[in-house]
Amino acid sequence: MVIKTIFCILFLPFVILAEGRADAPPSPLISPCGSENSKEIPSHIPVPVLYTDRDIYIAGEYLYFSAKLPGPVTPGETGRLAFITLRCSGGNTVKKGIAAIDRGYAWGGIYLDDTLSTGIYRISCFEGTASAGVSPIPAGKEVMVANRFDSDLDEFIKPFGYLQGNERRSHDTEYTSEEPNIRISSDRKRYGTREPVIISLETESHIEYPVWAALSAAREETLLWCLDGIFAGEPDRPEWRENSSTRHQQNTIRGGLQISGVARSNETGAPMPGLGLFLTMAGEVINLYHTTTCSNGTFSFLLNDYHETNQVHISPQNPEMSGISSITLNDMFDAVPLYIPGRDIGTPPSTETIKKSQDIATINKLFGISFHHEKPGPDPWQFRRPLLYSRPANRVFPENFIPLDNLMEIARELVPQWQIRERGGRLVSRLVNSRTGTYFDDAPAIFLDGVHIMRPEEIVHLGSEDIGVIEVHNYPWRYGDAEFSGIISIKSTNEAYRDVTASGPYVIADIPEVIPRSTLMPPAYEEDRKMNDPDFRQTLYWKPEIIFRSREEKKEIRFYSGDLAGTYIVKVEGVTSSGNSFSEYLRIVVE
Amino acid sequence: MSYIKITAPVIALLFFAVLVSGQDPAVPLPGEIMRPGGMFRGNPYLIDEWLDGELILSNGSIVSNIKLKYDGYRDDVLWLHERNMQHIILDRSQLIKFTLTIPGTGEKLQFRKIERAALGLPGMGDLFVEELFSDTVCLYAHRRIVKIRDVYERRGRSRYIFAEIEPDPVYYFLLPGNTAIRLDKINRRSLYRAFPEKRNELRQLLRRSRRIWNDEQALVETAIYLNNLLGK
Repeated sequence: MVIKTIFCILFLPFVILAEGRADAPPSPLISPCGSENSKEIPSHIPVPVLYTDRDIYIAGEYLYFSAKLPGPVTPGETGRLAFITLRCSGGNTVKKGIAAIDRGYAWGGIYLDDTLSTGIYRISCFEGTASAGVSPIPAGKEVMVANRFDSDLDEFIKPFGYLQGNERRSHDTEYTSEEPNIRISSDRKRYGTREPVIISLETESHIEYPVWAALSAAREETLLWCLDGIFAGEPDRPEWRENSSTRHQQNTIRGGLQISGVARSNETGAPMPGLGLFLTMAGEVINLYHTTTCSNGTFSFLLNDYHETNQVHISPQNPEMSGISSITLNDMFDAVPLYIPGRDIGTPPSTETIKKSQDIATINKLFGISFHHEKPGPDPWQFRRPLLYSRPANRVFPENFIPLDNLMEIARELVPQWQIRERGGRLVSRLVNSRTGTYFDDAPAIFLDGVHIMRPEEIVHLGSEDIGVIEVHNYPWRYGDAEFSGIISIKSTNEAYRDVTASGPYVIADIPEVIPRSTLMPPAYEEDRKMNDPDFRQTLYWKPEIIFRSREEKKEIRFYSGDLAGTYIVKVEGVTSSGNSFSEYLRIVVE
Repeated sequence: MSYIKITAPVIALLFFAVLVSGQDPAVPLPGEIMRPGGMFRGNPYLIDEWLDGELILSNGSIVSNIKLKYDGYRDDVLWLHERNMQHIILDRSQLIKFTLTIPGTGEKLQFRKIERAALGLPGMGDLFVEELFSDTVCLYAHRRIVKIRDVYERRGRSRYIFAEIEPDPVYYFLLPGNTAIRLDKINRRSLYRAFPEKRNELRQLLRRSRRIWNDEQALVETAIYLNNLLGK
């Protein structure tokens, strides 16, 4: 009785949390200095896993992936981010992006640029971590990508000796074929073109629910075979299987994409605690973030949707600090381990196979046939663009006046509240407080095209023709923890911020794109029988997210065959709640 | 007894965790730093103490567990920056809604920003109004505090002018079709004047309710009645 009551009480707050916060963005779990509170729900999945719809792709196609990441699986829970990288055999990252994790899944499609060279690539996925120095647990898988216009494939395959006889397990060590976790069957073995295919998945009685899986049906020639079965994804390092749940709970980022780094003294190299930093981005609005470095000099910013695929500028809040401090950013994607190509690849494909795939990709391109479909998914951005201010106290448009040569003249003639004077060999800028009519004690914050500017000297050369508008916000202003003695915002006509920030103490970081939730949407011929376009799908079907909940023993999946005759492998891969992975497949023939 | 010994700390710990979980300090709030005080005879605030509040910003962010005040004289929302004890007039353009929690009772006063034009008022701009009822028919209260007169006071050789202020709430019914009806006072006559075509129905409603029609609860009941009548 007591145990039951305690059990109920333990669950009550989680229910309250889940229900009450469903509409509101969840509160961030990262405190300004990286320590986290204990709002985590224990994980049962020890390691992340990653699956793709195929193993061999042609540049110009989409690679569909599905990653199951350890961590809490709370309905409606959002804010977890997966980092996705695609690395070539040279080790360079050719694609990177972030994807929202929903119910433990991150999935989507990566467009393989037409310019990708033929080679072996590794797609990796891991969940972002809050603490520097602790690596997350990536899941990875090698795939082959052939350039569509590459005709000399023999030269590509021959030099890679590791492709021959590279032994690799396809299943987890706990898994044995005598005791499968899931059974896969089809209504028939042979199908005509454009005929319905019905696949049944049945879980076994001994399985531990819930079960997470992904299913693909792809041409046999587009899959790589190992000595003991089919090629499957696995964690990048086997040792991560141990204690991975604990590692995850301690370090997961929540609430959006984070950018972090460390500030050090230029003289001694020692960390600089308590240093105020601004993060700004060029744009129409002043989308400012402010933070202060921790005792070990580290800092972090939680970005918002406005930053996606853009460059952000990080600079000391106090211009005096710019000369004595240096900022180093952590690479968000550097947690992925060194890539040693070809570890996973078993039997290589023949050149004929790849050439056939190239032809199919070319035909699809020529006819403009694509079954790619983007689905609205969870929003990875938990925070929206914060505005430093919404309406300035005054706006000045220099083009309405006689042309003036520099900012000092413009301030003197056109902006009566703003004074720029030369004093002691440097420029001093001051604003009149609109409430008191007297000058502020401190200099105003200056922004050029939304980017924080350290000193007036950097922009004093701007004349009337360079400036679109000057916004004067001469109030004593607070923005979170940052305080301003007025604000001057200059919008240039020629992106003048680029010249200013190209040198000096500005640290620039590129923010990756968000990979949208996308999948393959196969045609439904029973609805549209008059479809005359050729249907050369190499992947007949791809279901990135299949969840068997408690007592849910059977699922049926239905799709249509295409116009390409041949053997197809229907493969279901996944993990059980106890972390046992499985991979089952069957062959069907389209003729 | 042992049962209570085991469960009581668990309950206390978990409910504390639930309370703490609402903190959302990461969203920076913008606003003007103001000097507290003013030349008033009377109280410019709806409630003259810092109340627990929650904000919904125009960018969708929700900021909870902050101290807020509503200044009915200037129609502004004030935030107490607790680290510096600064009073900040929040940038009203970035606010959509805010909630004040009355201490003791725990009653939540929900305010929203609404365009003056939507209330049938002349001029540009917007107002913060308290939502008393919100459905097809809405009932809002503009908790304005107005100046009655200037009061001159001599202190030594100096002469000071104080604004004598007092609450003067105005109520707005928003009906389907973007019709706004204003009530300056809560009494039967003003209600009948506001809804002349519903006069008989309202009279029956007030008779049935058998109450003195002079408080906001009566207005809310009227709004519910109108909502049932017009909301179909």
